[in-house]
Amino acid sequence: MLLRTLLRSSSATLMLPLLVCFIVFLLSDTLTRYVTEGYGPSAVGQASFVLAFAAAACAASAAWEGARLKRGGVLDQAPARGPLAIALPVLAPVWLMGLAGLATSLLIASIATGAPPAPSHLGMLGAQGLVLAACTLSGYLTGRLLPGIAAAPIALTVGFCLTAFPVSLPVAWPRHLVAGAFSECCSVGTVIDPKAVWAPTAFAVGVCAAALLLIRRPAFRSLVAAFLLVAVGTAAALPPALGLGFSPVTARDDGELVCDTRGRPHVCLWPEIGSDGQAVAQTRTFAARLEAAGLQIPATLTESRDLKPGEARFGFKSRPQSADIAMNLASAVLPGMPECARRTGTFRAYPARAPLMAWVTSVALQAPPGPGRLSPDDAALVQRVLQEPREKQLAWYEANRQALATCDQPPQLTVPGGAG
Amino acid sequence: MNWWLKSRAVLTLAGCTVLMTLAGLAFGSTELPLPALTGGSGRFLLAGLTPVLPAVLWLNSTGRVGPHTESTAVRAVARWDTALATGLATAVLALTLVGHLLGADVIALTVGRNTIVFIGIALVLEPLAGHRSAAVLTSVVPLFCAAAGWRSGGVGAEPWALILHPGNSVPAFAASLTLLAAGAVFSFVRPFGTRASWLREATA
Repeated sequence: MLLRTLLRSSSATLMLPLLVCFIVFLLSDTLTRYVTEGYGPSAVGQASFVLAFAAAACAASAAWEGARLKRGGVLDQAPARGPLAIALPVLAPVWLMGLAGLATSLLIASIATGAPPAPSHLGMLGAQGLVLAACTLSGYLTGRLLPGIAAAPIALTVGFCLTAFPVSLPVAWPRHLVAGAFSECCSVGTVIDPKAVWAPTAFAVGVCAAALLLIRRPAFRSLVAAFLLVAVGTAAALPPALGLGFSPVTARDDGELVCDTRGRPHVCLWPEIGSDGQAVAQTRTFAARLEAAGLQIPATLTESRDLKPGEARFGFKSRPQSADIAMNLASAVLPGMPECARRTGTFRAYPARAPLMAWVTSVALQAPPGPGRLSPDDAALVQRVLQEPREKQLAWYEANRQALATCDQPPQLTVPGGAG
Repeated sequence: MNWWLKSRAVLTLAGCTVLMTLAGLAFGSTELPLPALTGGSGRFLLAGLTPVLPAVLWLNSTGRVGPHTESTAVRAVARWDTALATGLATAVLALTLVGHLLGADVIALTVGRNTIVFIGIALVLEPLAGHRSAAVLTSVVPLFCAAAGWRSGGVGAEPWALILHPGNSVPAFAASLTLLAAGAVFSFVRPFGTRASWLREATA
């Protein structure tokens, strides 16, 4: 078929502007809302929101083409070309339309993120392309099976449900078979787990192979073989899918942390957050204020998960505001939950944690605690403590800090010596 | 009459509609986690998708013979088709109302109302766009509502997104009945007659 005839007569030519307009006008809000600024993988991850809609459009278009070929009785008239040679050129524009929808959403998400899509994460796009190919081929089969007018709408609805629905199941692994959870990628400290890319690839390849076999030779034996191919694809996809939890992301390699050692404390952050130096400078300002108030600051603040002695966990999921930096510094300065509390379940000093965090944050910001984060009692307590002389505040802090490191010491929720 | 019943496969159509309604009652409360939901803007239920099927099956049954053949018939076949659609809608409504009175929860009302909405939309679109395009456009309506039908700020659905409203919402029910009535009148009267639109011609 001439290329211009193919494009002129294909339903994908009509669907493409509809799909692109749908994405640009109706979905761009969702695509841009949760991006992590400056982080490439986040652009690829957020762009995957449109997969269910693109899959529905591909399935509907392919079913339309299949129903059209059935209506024209093309395969009943002893054609010179085989069934695959007739079907694939007709389905190619449909698949390309789906890919164009993905490309549009990738463009929108990249612009919102402010970073190009990371080359290390382009495998996600490959997996999604294969899922769209599987939808296209299955949609074509639907178009040949179902009654003509009902084929495209049913394919649209079923295609949408099969790609959108698994994410809502209480079991984790079905969502990874259809690349349904990709939009959880990624905050700045995470990257996509390769298992999450292999699972939908294997499953989609199985479905594509089965569909191609059924298109080529629609007989009962092929049906059995097709079931086997889908089963093999699912079996290949299950080990990676079961190995993931509900989330397809894994921790980023610590070697990519950028450590600023020019001042005290040393601060190690991910390059997207720490490279412009602003967060580090603010952290050091706040740390200096806390040290002037008498608190002890760890020597190194790092995002890394394996902490050496003298290091404390400190980091952000996206570009932080001053208040975020102060709060994170406060939680780095305070001790973590003691082991005995994890084992026994009792942690008597726990009610002191919130007021203590708020107090440290206030000292760092040199501003009273903001409304809304604390319960009224805690807020009142922190206000009273802030009015005491410095030594009393420090004594209160040290007493509670020590209590937070044990399980059985009670918290000191009144100001020592004052009218608390 | 026999011919019309056979050509439209009325028994099969009615049976499938009843089956779809019962399936909607059974599974309609399942939530579909659409991207638009993650701002607390609302829940899209399967009960917004499965009621498309009776409307699509009606379009399929009535559209199998081309419009040119049937427009030359002595009897007004198109009006019989409209009556069939209205009958289906009434049957589904009665079924779901009775089900709700017998103890099924509010999802029964949602399924009934959504079926009426989709049949109404199909009745409006069919004279304008032809059976094939009307079927595809009707099935796009739930996706469109899911993507654009929630009010920003998360306080419920837009007034025009009838299928998103809860099942016991009286204004949405009244609007759906109005839509069905308007669609039935429009399809009955067919102000454009046999003049076909471009879309109807291209996809017949």
